[in-house]
Amino acid sequence: MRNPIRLFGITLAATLLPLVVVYAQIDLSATSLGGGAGDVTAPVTSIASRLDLLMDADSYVPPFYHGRALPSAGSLIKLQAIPYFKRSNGSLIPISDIVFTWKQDDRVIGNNSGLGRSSVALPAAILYGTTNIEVDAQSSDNTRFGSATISIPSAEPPLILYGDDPLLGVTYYRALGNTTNLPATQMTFAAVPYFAAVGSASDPRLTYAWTVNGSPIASDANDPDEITLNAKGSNGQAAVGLTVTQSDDVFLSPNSSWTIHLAGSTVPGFTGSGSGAKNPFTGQSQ
Amino acid sequence: MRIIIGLIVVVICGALAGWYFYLHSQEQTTQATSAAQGLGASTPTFGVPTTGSTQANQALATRSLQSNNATSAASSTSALWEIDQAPVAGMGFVDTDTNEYVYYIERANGYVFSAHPSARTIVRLTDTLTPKIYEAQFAQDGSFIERSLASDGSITTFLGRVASSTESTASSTGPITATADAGGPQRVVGGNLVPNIRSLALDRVSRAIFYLVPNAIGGVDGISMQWDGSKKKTLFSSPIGSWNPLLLDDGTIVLVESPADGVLGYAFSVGSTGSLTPLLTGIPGLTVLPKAASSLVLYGSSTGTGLTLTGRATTTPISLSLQTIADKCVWLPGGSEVAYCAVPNSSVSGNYLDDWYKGLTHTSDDWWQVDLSTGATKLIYSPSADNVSIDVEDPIIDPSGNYITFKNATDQSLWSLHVAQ
Repeated sequence: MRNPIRLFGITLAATLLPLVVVYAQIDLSATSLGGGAGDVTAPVTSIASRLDLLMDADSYVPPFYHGRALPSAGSLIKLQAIPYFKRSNGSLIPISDIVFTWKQDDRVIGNNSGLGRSSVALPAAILYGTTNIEVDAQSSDNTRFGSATISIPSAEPPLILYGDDPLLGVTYYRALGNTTNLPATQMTFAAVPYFAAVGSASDPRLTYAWTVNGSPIASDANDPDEITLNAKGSNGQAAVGLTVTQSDDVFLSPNSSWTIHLAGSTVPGFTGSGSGAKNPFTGQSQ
Repeated sequence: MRIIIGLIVVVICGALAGWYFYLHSQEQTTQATSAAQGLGASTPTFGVPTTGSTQANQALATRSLQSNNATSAASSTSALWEIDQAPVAGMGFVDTDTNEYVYYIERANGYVFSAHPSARTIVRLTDTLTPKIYEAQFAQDGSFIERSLASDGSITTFLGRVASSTESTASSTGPITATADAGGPQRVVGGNLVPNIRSLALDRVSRAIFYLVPNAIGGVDGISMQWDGSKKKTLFSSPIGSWNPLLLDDGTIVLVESPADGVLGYAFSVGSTGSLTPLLTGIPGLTVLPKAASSLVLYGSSTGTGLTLTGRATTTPISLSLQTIADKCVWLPGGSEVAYCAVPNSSVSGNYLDDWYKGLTHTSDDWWQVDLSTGATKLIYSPSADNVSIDVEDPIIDPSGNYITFKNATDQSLWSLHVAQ
């Protein structure tokens, strides 16, 4: 039997996830394999049906985050195709009776294609690149088919800084801006590398290089994603810099900087000078 | 000899002076630490209108990240009431025979409070100190779920309730106190669910729970159970891990793909056998608010260039003139097609949804009424009238439709708005 049914996926936008769902009814001819004089040719109706394609990634997002985990370089894109292939009696054809063919950048992913293979995990594009993924689904009796295409860019994980309060925990609801004024003398801050290709912010594959007012601060082995600033004996201004590198991706090194004004303190004798104008600002890892 | 003795005296005096200054600095450190823990602060007085929180116990550092422009409470005659200035983990309406209360949990200490929206009084119900409560939900009988992080970073989920003063043993199935116990604040009793529940929904009426836990294929399993742990079953399994579950008052489970600006989202209702029925499909930056026991649904879309809000009563979508997300809306209880939505009063960026979830951006919202039967929208309240700016988060409405309670996303303070006509 020939299998000429194809449906073209169309990328609708340059951004993430254009999905194509095409409804159509195509009349085809199914011919027996023999092709000889006594062969029977019968009309077969193959109906284009709806196919939804869901996507997220195995990238890092902090606890209680309500948004989507998006792909970045080095992470895996997770996709799930959900077909709605209805038989003539209205019942749904089970996924186990549907053949899925996955393609990434026009290459068929043979290992992940086949009967019932409705989900797949594929590598994200390199940094700033885009990968195109297509899935074709066809019922095993060739009566229903569907197709979907998505285009997924890889962005650099944004580095965002939050306060980490002893009572409130990490204040994910309020990220620090480029310049922040805080009335406290001492505070701990937590950096969150959203969408990094790791399981946690303190994943050993990540290296945090902190600086405070230009001086490098050694990271703590247990909480390398956190830093504690103590403004005693200083004017309280700290230019905090952070670069995060990933051991298995040398091209990935997001960095960011923040200017934080803590409440300075001029405790006589503490700095040896008593002058807040001097800047013995200390940063210490947690 | 005198010179030597003199030198010794000078050295001793110098050492004592150094020791004094050292102790002085250490004392200040200790004081700061104590203040951060609420030590030495005056005892909060409860049951006093417009007070009632442990905000006095908040250290300067604790308060340091709070908003500067949303801390002024509205006047006592305003429709708006700032219930608690301190960050709140979550809240819910609790019914008694005669009254409705807002129960809530302060994030910094885990204390459960009861607030009376019309009398504007507050009572602290518990004295079990549990810092760092990130999320909380309440059933209508006052039992609650609070979520936090363990020292190893795993997510903890605790099912609890307020014990009565006469209760001798901890039990999670005993009676619920809906008002302050005569014996004062009580302890919290209950138990933990499995660790690392990624997201969770509670049916406030039946206390059924639906939660998502990581599975072996990198996605999540969706598990339903009753409050007491009975009828536990896996309803749903997906290689996709980014879902936000909703559990409506009629028991309907809705799964919404976690939204992102410009990224297509899908929402499904989950049948009792785990079957998925599409509710909304292929909408960029999808946020969803279905109404229980009806076909009504509000959904927002963040396309990457702006926000839209759409209502659907049957099959025909009604485009509304409001630019907001469904997360900021509540349905008026009952048979009407009316909803209330908080709407940013200025335009937002194309990355609004992502930035808002990350705490990178905050808006100043007005409250609008939406009537899906006509498609009409009407401004009902602007906090600017009370010189307040509020970025509405997690709004809920009481069963009688009189009060909306919500958090200010900027600082997690708790607010109530009287909306009865």
